[in-house]
Amino acid sequence: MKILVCLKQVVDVELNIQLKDGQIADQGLRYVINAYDESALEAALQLKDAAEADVTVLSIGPDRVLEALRKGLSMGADRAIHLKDDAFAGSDSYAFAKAVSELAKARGYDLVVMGKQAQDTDAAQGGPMLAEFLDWPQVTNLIFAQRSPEGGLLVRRVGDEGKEVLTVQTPAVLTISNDFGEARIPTMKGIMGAKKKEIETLSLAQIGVAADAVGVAGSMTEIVNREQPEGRKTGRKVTGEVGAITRELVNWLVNDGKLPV
Amino acid sequence: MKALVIAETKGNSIKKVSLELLSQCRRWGLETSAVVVGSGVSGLCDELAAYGASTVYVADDASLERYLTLPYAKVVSEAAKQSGAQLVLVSGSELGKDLAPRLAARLGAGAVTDAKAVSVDGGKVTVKSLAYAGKVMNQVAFKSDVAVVTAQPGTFELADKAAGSANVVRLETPESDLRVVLREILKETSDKVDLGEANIVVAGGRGMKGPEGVKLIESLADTLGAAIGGSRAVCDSGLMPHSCQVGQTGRVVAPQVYFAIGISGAIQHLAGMTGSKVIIAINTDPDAPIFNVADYGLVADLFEAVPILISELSKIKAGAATAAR
Repeated sequence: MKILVCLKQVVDVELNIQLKDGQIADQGLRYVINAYDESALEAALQLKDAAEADVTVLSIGPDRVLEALRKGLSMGADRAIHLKDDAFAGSDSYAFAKAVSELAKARGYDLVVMGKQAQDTDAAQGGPMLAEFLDWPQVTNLIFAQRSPEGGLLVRRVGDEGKEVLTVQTPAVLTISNDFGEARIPTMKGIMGAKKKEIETLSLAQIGVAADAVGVAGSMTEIVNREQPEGRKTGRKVTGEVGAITRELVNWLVNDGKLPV
Repeated sequence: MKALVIAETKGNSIKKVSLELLSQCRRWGLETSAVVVGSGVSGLCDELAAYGASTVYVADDASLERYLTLPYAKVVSEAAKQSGAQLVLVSGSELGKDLAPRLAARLGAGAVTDAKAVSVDGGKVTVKSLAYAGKVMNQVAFKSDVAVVTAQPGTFELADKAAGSANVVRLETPESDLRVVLREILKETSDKVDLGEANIVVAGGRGMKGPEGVKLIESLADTLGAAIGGSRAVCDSGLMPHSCQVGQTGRVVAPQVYFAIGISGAIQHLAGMTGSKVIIAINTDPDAPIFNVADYGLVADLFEAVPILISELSKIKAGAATAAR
């Protein structure tokens, strides 16, 4: 089974993020692998632990994404692809999915796996869009996956009414929830082994994608403005004897009509 | 401009969030259609008409009882094409998150997830949505002819029902696609108030300490008829099921009133609840970040404050019931 895992390198959202001239200010930024994508790699590696599989990690972006690929290799991926092309800048989920669909077709993967969303945008669009462009089935928000004795995979996802148990035939696109479980930590052996593995660098032309199919030209959405949202105003904070302050809160809730009845 | 709302059902009724989306389309003065997919859903067309749908596309078949991406995408994309909608709205539920991007790709359209505000002006749709865990508000324009937008419950106000009847268009049931087969649903929360639909949410955090604290939260929720939520820490520890988790990695909620009890207010939790109309916080730590976003904060021990809250609210409820008699 050939598995492609998409690793997005994102700005660490725990840090302070400021805007400068309508763009995210570079100062003090740190990049990390999208945590959901680490869970996706864990899911792929568990399939590989159970039966034969070949796991490729893919990351798109400038040379800083090599760090993400190196980590993916040290966790246990077999090979890595760095898709590097200036034309990719400004791509939305639609353009991302178009590009990856060409790569998936060209390389004949059975499974493409990624996090259910990326921590920078929380858009959760890349997986389903990719599945549509490939005309493959999709299962999103996965918390469990194993090979099914009848072929394909047996998976569990979280839906609106609870946990769903499904079977899915390959080729397919899976997106993984953070509830899948903690991603493994690279071992020293894994880190040393990763140094010997090669990272393949590809341009858009090499995977048969026209420059205007990605970037701003190939995107269907465009960010026309960014602003720091106004925070909520801080209300009152009361201290004192617990009985008195709690009754005061109830009065406020009821008398001001705050409680919908 | 023409709009299409993908209506979702729960039990035998339309979800409130779908009616909120229809209400907003009427407020904008759009020519609005709705599409409803399921088993035994034909009777729901009048409800959709009452909130502003002039045409309702229906696919009603036993095979469509449970949501599956491939057949639903087929039906809904057919409705989108027939209606000629330039704006397609769907809730930010798990169904919406799974379906909206697939539909957008099929229509050659862009999509925005979890809109905080939408403007339709001169045939152009622009949407505001949060990024970077709520630290940046993006304003997004579309280059495609169709805009697909998801919104969480509470983003738009529900309007009053009005008289109206819809033109009902029946859509063909797609042939079954066996590439994905649903074997079973392990229900977690069947009779409880749905977190995404609730007017009031009572959420507990690490301050609950253990099962006794959870009971207190549940009891307050019962008193208020509220849904129960939890912070990531308590869901990860198993004190509460993951389906209760409010935050960037869980559910994004925007109820009328949100009680954050024993929750310090980590950034990822705040990203999931600061859209609430009124926020009440109870925490022993006066420096907890939750107080920065709370309209009303009690610096108090939840084990002391919550029982008083329950008894006071019960008294008021009993009083109201007596008055009504």
